[in-house]
Amino acid sequence: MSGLLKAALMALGAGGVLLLAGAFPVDGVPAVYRSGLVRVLGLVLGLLCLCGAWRLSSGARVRLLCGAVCAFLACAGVAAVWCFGEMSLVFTGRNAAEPAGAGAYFGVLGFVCMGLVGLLFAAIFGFLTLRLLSKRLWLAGLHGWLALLLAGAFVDFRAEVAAPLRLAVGAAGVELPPVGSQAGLTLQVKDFKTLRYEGAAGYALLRHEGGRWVPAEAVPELRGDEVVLGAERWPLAALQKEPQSGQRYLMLPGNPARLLLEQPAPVREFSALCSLRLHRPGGDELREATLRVNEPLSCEGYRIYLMSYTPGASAAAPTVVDLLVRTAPGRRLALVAMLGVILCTAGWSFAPAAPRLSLPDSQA
Amino acid sequence: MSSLVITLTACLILLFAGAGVASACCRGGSGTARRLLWLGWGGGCALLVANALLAQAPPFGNMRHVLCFFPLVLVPAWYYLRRVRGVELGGYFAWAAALALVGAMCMPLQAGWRQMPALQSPWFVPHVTSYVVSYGLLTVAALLALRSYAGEAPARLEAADAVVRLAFPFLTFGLWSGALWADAAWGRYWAWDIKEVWSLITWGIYIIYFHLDAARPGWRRGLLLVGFAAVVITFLVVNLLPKIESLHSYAS
Repeated sequence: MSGLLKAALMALGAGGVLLLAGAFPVDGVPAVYRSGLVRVLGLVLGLLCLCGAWRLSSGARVRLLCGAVCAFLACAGVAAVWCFGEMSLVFTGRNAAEPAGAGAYFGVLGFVCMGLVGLLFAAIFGFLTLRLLSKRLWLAGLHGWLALLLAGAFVDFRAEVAAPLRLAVGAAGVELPPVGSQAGLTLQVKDFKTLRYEGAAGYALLRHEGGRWVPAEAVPELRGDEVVLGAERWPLAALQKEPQSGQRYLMLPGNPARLLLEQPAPVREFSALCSLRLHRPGGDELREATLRVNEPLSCEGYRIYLMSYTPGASAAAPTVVDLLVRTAPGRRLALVAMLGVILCTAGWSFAPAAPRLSLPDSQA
Repeated sequence: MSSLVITLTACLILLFAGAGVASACCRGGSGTARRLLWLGWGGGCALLVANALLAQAPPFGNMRHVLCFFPLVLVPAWYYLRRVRGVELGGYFAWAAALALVGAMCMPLQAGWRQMPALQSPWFVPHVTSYVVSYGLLTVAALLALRSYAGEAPARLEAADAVVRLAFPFLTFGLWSGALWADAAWGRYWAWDIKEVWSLITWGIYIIYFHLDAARPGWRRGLLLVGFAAVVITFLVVNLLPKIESLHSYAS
């Protein structure tokens, strides 16, 4: 097989990987990408690509070209794996904004295969670049990625839109306008849950000084059904419930006034079950997704983040959830560039001073 | 468990100080100093486990946790430089580890610390670890730069350069992995938070250092010290000054 054909196979494979990465359904790609056929095509091309890389490794003349193509493939593979991280949500149903139909499962399978292919190419790329790239090339790459990072950040600076939302649990949803050609949507918080660390509640004593409550140095302890501080004892039953937040407290008379505050065990995790009504031309489509901290939701061009919450004590004063809704067109470029900066800095620092491998043309 | 953590920290300070003294007594690094460094590393592992048991989570969430982690990364870094780059800096690494542990002893134990939801991310451990590695190494580089005023400037500055070159990728990873994490946790990869800004300033100072001509050792030495000052501001001052509000305030 000629080197040109092998290289063509590699390029086709690269196209396949990108095609499959483009088939990632959550970010609202055109409908044609959503079909399983495209994923099969991507898988076949990716395997051809693997075959090409295998055959290429036996020749020396085109190794440089192979390295360059592999670099491209590695980036595509990383992108595919990255997308897979979000795609897995389809699998588990966690945070999933896309219904998990048969096509989606097939897509996940394809994505796993392509992720493995991408990782393999990343390994080949790493091996070749360590042998071929000099410090100067790593440094050039570093500057290139920095330029891309700045470009992404500039795009976001010009076009990013972010809006904080405060939604009461169970209240009517908020309508978000369409982004570009995407569907608009209505966002509603249906349920909210908190999970606390194990352990009993703690107690704090606050003093009223200068118009505000200041924590006292001494910390009361719970003993049986009493809160004890030195010689002072307060029965738990005497604590009152604050109507808005449900937090229990006890006002202590004296000058300055003191406040005994019950502090529940720290929150380990909180999550909000959201309902998303997508306003598609053919009719509304209803989906559900669970939002957690560090696990934003991508839907119809928006990224939706769970930021914080204000606990509520009753149906009259429900929990209020703080969300952030954002569209950032330069985000992906900036994030990929950050990974590039990290990679190139490591390469520049750890690469040997001079290339170890020479490429004599006679070894064709 | 709290008393075990305090006792172990005190023992490790003595151990690393002993390694520093032993290294100073024998030029080129004595066998005793090396043994003490490895013993200290083992103790550092035990301290990490004790902190993890106390916190019921990876113990990187507050200043004391992070300072206790320094010896654990400094000893392998010393070994790497010694074996791969041929630079013997056992004494410097030992004093840097002891310094970090003294800092840890000055911090409250916070036995009730629990990992808050924002810190429960796959980025948590690599982000903090890379910063600890880089800050530890940059401390060693600053110590070398300071010692270069006492003599043997070219050799010490060359060693400092090797240390900074090892530290810089970790510093870069710390900075940009933090941005990647922030994109998931805070809804933006750059928030102009004061700690972020000082991290960027620190990174920028070391970039200037690399762009400076090696034929200007005075400038480079100055930048090493300025860079270390920026590290101190980023790591300690920003978190410990009470008037400063930061998104990183949970690290205080």
